[in-house]
Amino acid sequence: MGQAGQPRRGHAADGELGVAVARAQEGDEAAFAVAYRLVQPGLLGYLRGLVGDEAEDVASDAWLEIARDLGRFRGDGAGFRGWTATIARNRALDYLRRQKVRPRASVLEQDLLELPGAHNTYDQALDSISTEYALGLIAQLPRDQAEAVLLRVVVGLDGPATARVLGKRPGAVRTAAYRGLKRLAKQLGAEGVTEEGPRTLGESG
Amino acid sequence: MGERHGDGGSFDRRAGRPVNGWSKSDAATAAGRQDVPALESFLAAAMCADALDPDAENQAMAAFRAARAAGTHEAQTRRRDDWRPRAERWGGRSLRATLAGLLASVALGGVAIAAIGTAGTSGDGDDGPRPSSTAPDQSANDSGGTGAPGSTAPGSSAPGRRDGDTGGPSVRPSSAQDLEAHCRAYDAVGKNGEALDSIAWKRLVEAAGGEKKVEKYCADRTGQPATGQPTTGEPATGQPTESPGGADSRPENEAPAPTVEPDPPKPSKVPGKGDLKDAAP
Repeated sequence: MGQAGQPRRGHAADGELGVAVARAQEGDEAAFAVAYRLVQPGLLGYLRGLVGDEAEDVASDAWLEIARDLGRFRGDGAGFRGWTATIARNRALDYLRRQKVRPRASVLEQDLLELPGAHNTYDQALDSISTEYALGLIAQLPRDQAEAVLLRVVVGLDGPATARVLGKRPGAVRTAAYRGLKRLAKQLGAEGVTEEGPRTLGESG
Repeated sequence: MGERHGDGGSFDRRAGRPVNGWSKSDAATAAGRQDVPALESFLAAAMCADALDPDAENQAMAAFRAARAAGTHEAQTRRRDDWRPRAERWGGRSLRATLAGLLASVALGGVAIAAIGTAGTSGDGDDGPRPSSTAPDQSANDSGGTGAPGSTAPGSSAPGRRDGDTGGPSVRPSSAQDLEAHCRAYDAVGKNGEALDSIAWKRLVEAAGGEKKVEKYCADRTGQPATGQPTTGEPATGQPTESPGGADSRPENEAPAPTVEPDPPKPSKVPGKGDLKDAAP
């Protein structure tokens, strides 16, 4: 955790984002578009982990609210990521509540099906590494770990901001993210090993 | 879903092609090394691989324009909209003001404590409603007088004491009470003044106008009961009228629209406190 040199962590673009947000708050439309393009990918990635294929729709809802409340926001680029992530999360939770789906179950099950299982050949495993695959991996984590990982790694929030979005203590969030990543690494590593030998994977459940 | 496929530059996330320069074998290798940073990079790239949907962007832009036109961008910041770094959020000035207030209260508290020792000397003799020597009485009195606050904030004790120092002639007969107490103590130690606590004795002597007169003085005093009765009956602390909580004490998230500044310390209503705290926001 906390490696400063990560390209994604703490987003190099945060400075640019902060400027864009400030100008958008003054009414600059082009600046708002810049902010959108900087934020949307991470937001979408996070939402995919929460609501799966509904991510696009939920993101649209979130952006309506973001656009409406933009004037209320105070903070810099990193802060804007946290603020937007909070809004997106609330929209996602609303959606899940409305759907009365078991929180992530539909996403989870579906992705588990797509996940390369113990019987996949290495080639298949190779082919499936992509968003779906990553999503499937993350979907296997307990929810708190999955969210912590997504917010930190995909949205690019730091520990305190992640904690604020989730409404938890920073320590708890740090631990969750760490455990989640460790688990992912283990899983991915275990599958990568199939290349070298016919080892059965005990980990994929 | 993944319906909208790249309008340039990006790739279909279903195709499983290398993502932002990351191939799966890279990921697997990284994972095999338990290389968490590398794994993070992979995940970030993979999860963000989608192309941005121009329709969605247009929708967001339209919402932005609508809000701008409707003036909703003037809306006030709620607590949950404030993502400034903590120090900034609380404001350097505010922090300084808080510290200054704290310092002042400590200093003035010290003055008040010192005054406990000296108050007796200033009240020369005549009984009654004078010098309000003891600090607790005084602050209670003050808070009653200003009709004010639960006196909870750290700074709040300061103004009260300050008033007292500038000679607030409080109407309270506390010194008379004290002197009576000294007299009783004087009786208790067998009219041997030296056995008394020296300050108490000194005060008694001053009040009586000389060592010789102490005995008579005390006899008079304890004989005629209670010029100024009611230390106990004075419910000054029961005062706190306008609850200073108000909007401030609401759950931050629901508060409709406080102000830009997130409600740091407490109230601004209280006049006495104001000079310490109001400098803040």
